[in-house]
Parts: sequence; C-alpha cells; structure tokens
Amino acid sequence: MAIINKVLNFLILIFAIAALVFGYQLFNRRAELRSHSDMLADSMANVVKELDVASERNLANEINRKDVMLSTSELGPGGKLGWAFFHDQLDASGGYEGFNTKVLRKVEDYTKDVRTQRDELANTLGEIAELFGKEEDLPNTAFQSLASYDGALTALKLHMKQVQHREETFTTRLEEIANKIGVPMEAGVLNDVANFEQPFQDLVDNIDQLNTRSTDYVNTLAKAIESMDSHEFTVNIELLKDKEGYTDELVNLQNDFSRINDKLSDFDKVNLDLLETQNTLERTITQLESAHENAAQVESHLRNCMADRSTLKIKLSRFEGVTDSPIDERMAQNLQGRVIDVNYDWDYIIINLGKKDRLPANVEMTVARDREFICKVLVTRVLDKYAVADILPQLRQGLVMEGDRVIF
Amino acid sequence: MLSSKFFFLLNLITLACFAGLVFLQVVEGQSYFMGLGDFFKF
Repeated sequence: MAIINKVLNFLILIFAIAALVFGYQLFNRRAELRSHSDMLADSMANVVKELDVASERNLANEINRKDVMLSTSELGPGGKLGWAFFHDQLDASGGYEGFNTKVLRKVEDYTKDVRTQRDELANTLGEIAELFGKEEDLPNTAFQSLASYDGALTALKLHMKQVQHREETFTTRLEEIANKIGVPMEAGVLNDVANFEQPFQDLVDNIDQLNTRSTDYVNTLAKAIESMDSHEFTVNIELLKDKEGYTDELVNLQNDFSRINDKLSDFDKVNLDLLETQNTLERTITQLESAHENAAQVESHLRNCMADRSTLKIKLSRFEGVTDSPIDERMAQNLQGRVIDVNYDWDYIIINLGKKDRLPANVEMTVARDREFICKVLVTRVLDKYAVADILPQLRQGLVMEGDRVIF
Repeated sequence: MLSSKFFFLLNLITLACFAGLVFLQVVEGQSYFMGLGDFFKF
C-alpha cells in the first residue's frame, strides 16, 4: 500500500507540474487573446469614431472601449466594447446575443449606411459625369473604388472647372453681344440658373430680328440697285450679300451714290434752266395769242370794211346806173346754185354759178340749208362756170357746208 | 493515526483532480489552437 501511495504521490506531482505548466501557457494564451480582443475593440472604436466625423450620428459616445473592468452600471455612456459589458450580456441560453444586438449589429448597420452613402455619392458623381459627357472616362465604379476615386474626383473637378470657365465665358460674351447689338442685358442675369431662359430667349429674338433686318437691308439695296437701270452701278450685288466681301461693296455703293448725287445736282440745274425756258415760252405764247386776237380783230374789221366797200360800190353803181356786170341784177334774182367748196381759213366759198349763168359780181346772196338760213355771202369774182363769194360775218347763223343752197 | 488506506484514497482523489485539471487545460488549449506540443514551447 505504501508503494502504491508513493506511486500515486509521484503521479500527483507530475500532474501538478503539468497543470502548472499548462496553466502558465494558458495564461499567456488568455493574455494574448485579451490583447487581441482589446485591439479589435480599440480598432472598432476608432472605426466608429472615424465614421462619426461629420456623420452627425455620434455613435462613438455609445460604442467605445474602457480599459477597466467595470460593471455595466459603472460604464456610464459608452464602454460597450469593453470586456465587462460583453460579460454582462450573457443570457440564459449561454449566448451573447445582447452584445451582438447592442454593439456589433449597430456598428455593422452604421458601416452599411456609410457604404450606402458612399455608393450613392459615387452614383451621383457618375451621373454628373454622364451629364457632362464623361460617362466613359468617369463611370460610377471609378468613384467607388479606393484605388481610383481620387483620380476620378480630380478629373471631374478639372472638367467641372473647365465647364464653369466655358459657361462664364459664354455669359460674358453673350452680354457683350447684347451690348453690341444695342439691347444690353442686366449684368449677371444669365448666371441666374432659375431665370436665365427668358433673357436668353430675348437675346436670341433680338439677334433674329437683327439678322432679318440685315437681310432685308441687303435685299432692298439689291432691288434698288437692279431697279435703277439708268445708272451703271459699280457695286457687285452678289458680293454685297456675302458676309465677308460686303465691306468693299459698301464703299463702292457709297461711291455710286455720290455719282448719283452729282447727276441729280446736274438734273436740278437742267430743271431750273428748263423751267426758265418754259416760262419764257409761256410768255411768248401769251404774246402770240394776244397778237392772234389782234390779227383776228383786224381781219374781221378788214372784212367788214370790204363788205362795206362792196355794198357802197353796189349802191354807187345803182346810183350811177352802171353795173360791172353786163347782166342785169334783176335777171339774176332767179338764179339758184350750190356750194361746191368751202374755205374755212379765209371764209370764202365757191359756188357752181358763173358767167354762163349770167351771175353778176359784187352781189349779196343767201346761203341756206333746206329752210334754214345760214349766212350772207358777197360774190367777189365770177368765172365762166364758178364764182367766189366771201362769207359775210353779219347775220351769220351757222357753218357753211358743201351742198348748201345759194340763192338771192 | 490515519490508515494508509485513507491516504491511498486521498492520493487517488488528488490524482484524479489533477488529471481532470490537465485534461481540461488540454481541451481549453485546443480551443486556442494549441496542440500538446505547444504546451511545452517556451
């Protein structure tokens, strides 16, 4: 029995040494494990702190680690990554679901939210890049990837600056254009992204009107030049319509107008001369008309005198009992003839009676048409078959015509 | 005076306790990815 006890004692000693050694090794392992756990907890706490920056969630106040073994009630705010809190979450089933729910899942959800935010930011940046025609160079994944997001952001910012510079240049130039065409715009009105369309549309309308007016000017000038065919223009109409060659043609057009102006000045001088000539002519016509009236009066007076002379001559013949004609006037009182010709310029007629009809000269005869009295005539010259008689203006009732009867 | 049989039983129980303790330590060590050889590395 003593030997067995000695053996047992020896075995106990061996197991005791083994337990001591194993305990020491396990102690080291536990310390290592604790260190590992603490490092993970610290790292997680730092992650939460980093995620908290500008996130406005402040989860680090709740999810952190304290280096003391305190009970849950002594933790205060935070400390949930500590060993004690983990230990206190042991539930009846022997699990630590409380720690999982209160700590780990919150951190995971927090991380997922930040990741979602990152993805949405990346997608939005990708959509912005697509809007500006950079979808091939800057896809959504370029902003998600940690390896490429920095370069993608730099490229996008550079592109946005270029676009902004282009927009500012457009705006400035458009305002300059508006000033140049005489319809100035309010400064910076095109920079108002909410209300820029109406001023821009106004500018477009003004440019359209200017263009239309310019085209109408050119067309009107071309039509005017073509219609003025009495002047040989040096301007080329086709070049006048050309947007580059029109300046030289405008100079030519000015020269043409100068020449036309010179011609018009000459026309004015000629017109004045012509007016003066016309006045002179009118005065001359007036004088001629006055002379013609005087001549008519003299002629009428002369005819009256001639008629008086004839009448006096007939009366003298009767008084003296001598006639120029061998035919007795009384014998001719039954004669009747016809007017065969009339001279309206000298107011004499030719009748178809003559010496053969024993017509005496210097006798008055009556011209009639049917029963209508026309006038009196004085036979001034008697030929064999015809006689010439002057129309006496006294008692003249109408115009003598060929065929009228001539009687005593 | 205690009998030798008593000490024998006492030694036996003590041995069993130590053996159990070593067994538990080995099992725990396996959960830390420790083989038997790892307990003897210093």
